[in-house]
Amino acid sequence: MTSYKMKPLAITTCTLLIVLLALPAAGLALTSSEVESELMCTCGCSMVLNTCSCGTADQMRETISGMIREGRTKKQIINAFVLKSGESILSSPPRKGFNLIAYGVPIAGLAFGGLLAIVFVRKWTSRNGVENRTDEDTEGGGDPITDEMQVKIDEELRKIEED
Amino acid sequence: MVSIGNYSQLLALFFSLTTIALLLTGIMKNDFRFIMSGRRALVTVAFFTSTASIALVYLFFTNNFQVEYVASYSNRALPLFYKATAFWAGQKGSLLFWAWILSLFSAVVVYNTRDEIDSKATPYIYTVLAATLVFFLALITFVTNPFDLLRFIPPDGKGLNPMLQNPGMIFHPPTLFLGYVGFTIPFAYAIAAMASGNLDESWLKKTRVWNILAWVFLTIGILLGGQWAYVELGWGGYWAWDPVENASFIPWLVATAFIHTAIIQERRNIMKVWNMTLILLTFVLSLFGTYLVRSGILQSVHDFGATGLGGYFLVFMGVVLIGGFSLIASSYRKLRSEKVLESYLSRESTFLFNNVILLALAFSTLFGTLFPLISEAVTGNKITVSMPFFNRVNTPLFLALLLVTGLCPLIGWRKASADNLKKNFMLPFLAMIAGTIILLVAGIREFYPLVAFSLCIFVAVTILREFWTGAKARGKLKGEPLIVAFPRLLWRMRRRYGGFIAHLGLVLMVIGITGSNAYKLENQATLTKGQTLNVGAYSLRYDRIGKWREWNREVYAATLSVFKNGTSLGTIRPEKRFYVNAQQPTTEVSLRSTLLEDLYVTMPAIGRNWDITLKVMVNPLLQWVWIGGFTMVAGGLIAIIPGRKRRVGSNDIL
Repeated sequence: MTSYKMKPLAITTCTLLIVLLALPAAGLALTSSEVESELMCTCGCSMVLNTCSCGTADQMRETISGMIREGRTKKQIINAFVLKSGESILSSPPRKGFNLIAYGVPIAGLAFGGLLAIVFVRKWTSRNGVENRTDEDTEGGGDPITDEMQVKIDEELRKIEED
Repeated sequence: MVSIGNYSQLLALFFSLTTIALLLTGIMKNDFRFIMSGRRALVTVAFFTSTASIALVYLFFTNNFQVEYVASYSNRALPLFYKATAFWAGQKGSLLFWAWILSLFSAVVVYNTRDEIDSKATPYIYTVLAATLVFFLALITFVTNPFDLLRFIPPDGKGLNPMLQNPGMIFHPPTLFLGYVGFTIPFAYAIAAMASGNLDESWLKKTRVWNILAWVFLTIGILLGGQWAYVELGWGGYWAWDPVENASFIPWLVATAFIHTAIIQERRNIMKVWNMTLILLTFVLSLFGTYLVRSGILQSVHDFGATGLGGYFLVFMGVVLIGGFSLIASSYRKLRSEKVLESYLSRESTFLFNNVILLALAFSTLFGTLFPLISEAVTGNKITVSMPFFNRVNTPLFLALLLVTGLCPLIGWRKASADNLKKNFMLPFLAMIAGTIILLVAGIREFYPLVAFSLCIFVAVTILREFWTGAKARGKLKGEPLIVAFPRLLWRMRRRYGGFIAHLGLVLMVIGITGSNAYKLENQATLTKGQTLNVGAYSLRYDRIGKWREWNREVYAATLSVFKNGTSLGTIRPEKRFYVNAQQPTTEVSLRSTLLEDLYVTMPAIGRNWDITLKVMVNPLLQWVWIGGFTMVAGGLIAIIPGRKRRVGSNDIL
């Protein structure tokens, strides 16, 4: 398909996506489970509140429901629990101070790994000067491998491996 | 029987040490007779670990409560079935189980290498296996012996934790162990390849079945653990990113990366250093999983507590890591690839980026698991890193992995041509756009679910397109109708299509995970008889409650009539169970599963006037998590079905 034929399709698709994304999503009211997922049960079971079914968890849920009825926000409810039990009640570390390392290091790890992969691919592709080759140089005069040919090649490789 | 168990363990340890001594002597003196003796000694280890294992099961069956391990994990009321599986319920038994499986696998390796006994690498393979056996056998013989006796004979045992009295728990630990132990074999071959200097891809070819089989077992183990959590713990989920769950997931991720790059080494003879590193890490991380469980360094719902074994595992892991990396460093020149990648746009490159993402996932999971320790050591603050953190950090990585899974089949080996790439991309891309629009119209506006479902469409279409073009090509070549060509193609090229089936399983899993997490509905209420609880389109009416005695427990079961949009769907019966000798009652989930959604009901409390507290959830698409998981397993198994050996000179094509 040539590029001028693609343009109307791309424009229509993008417009549709933008319009649909702009439509409002349902259900914005704060629910108890949204808060529960941010807190740990304090009974010592090491479970997130929304996954624990012990008596302590039930009491905590009741407290949360009461606070929601009072009109408190998610942040206010969580702060109230932190004030009472300390930061260890949070199911994930707050994004501040030393804890930023917890969030940053995995991203840095991915970036480093990705960068390393790019460096290696660059190095490997340039080792015997293949990086500037065109498709025609490596694909046998530009003839693409047909599906039939691919099946045959795979089958032959399999036989060689079995032998 | 206690003496038989003790002596068997001791003799197994003795023969493991003998194996090492004989093999090292054989290697140093270049004397074939020592190596043959070492082989026989290694097989003997399997005989003695089997005897010890049978002895332990016999002690459970005969209620010998003077044995501390039996008294801790069994009692008279425990059904016979669970008495057998109590073997691996605790630390001591599971370590014996580990040693037993490893010794049996070692015996299989001895059999498989019967024609390669003169190979330089073979004695090293046996030595690594025997050394690993020595570690586990020394632990159970001298540190944590399952045959230790109490000074008195208690009238009854403590019994098995009620949570573990579930069919899923029978197979979850052994399959996990089979996975962990399975990776010892490719690790042993890798070390042997480096020690012997035979660094071509032959070790990978010989261990391909082991790699995938170990991965399959680890996958089954993780899935069964998830299923157990889902039906037994009563919180409506299957994965909580608990440290012990992560301990099995981390080696799974690294092993998955290894399986992918092993294909590149087999096909192109490149990435040798990388593969050596990955198999070394997979093995060490399998040990790390056990370390995490046994050391008690982290708080976990799997409350194994501090067992005093952490130090031993730490030392063993240290030795393996230092030894392994030293070997890689000393073999680096020989391991360096002469061949190179030909293009960024090649399947090899996508495999490399798939590796980066898999390892980033493994790293972030490991880092998150250990972060509470790091934080406490640095700041003195005790913090918790649980589900929301892992979901936040890992979800984008999973989506990136899904994208690469879709891109991979579209890009050819060595160097993709731009025209081919455009041709291959068009259909999946258009299908994804069309699917996204349909999803948006259907009301799915949340970012992650929308991206996940859209990518699922993209990946599914790329995979199905592979099946379609392959079957069509074969049909054209052989003059077969598609319905015949497709299964024949699948069978003839099962390694390739087994891989695609595994990827299709991943897509199905993502659909299940996304649906069940993003669109879960939940309600909880206390009902008296005749009252109704509503969740989404469902209404549950509390009809009656019954009580009876069953095996080693007292059961209270409420019967609820279920209606969906006013139509009766029958009844559902959540239970509360009180086990003999157990401190707390357990809740038994009642499930009504369809491919569209699960109705998940638990009864956390029963009041004095027979009023009941119900927790009801509707988990959309959840069954696809299991269907996808077991599709992955099926794909792995299809990929390793052995082929018939072809007659030499045969020249038939297809």
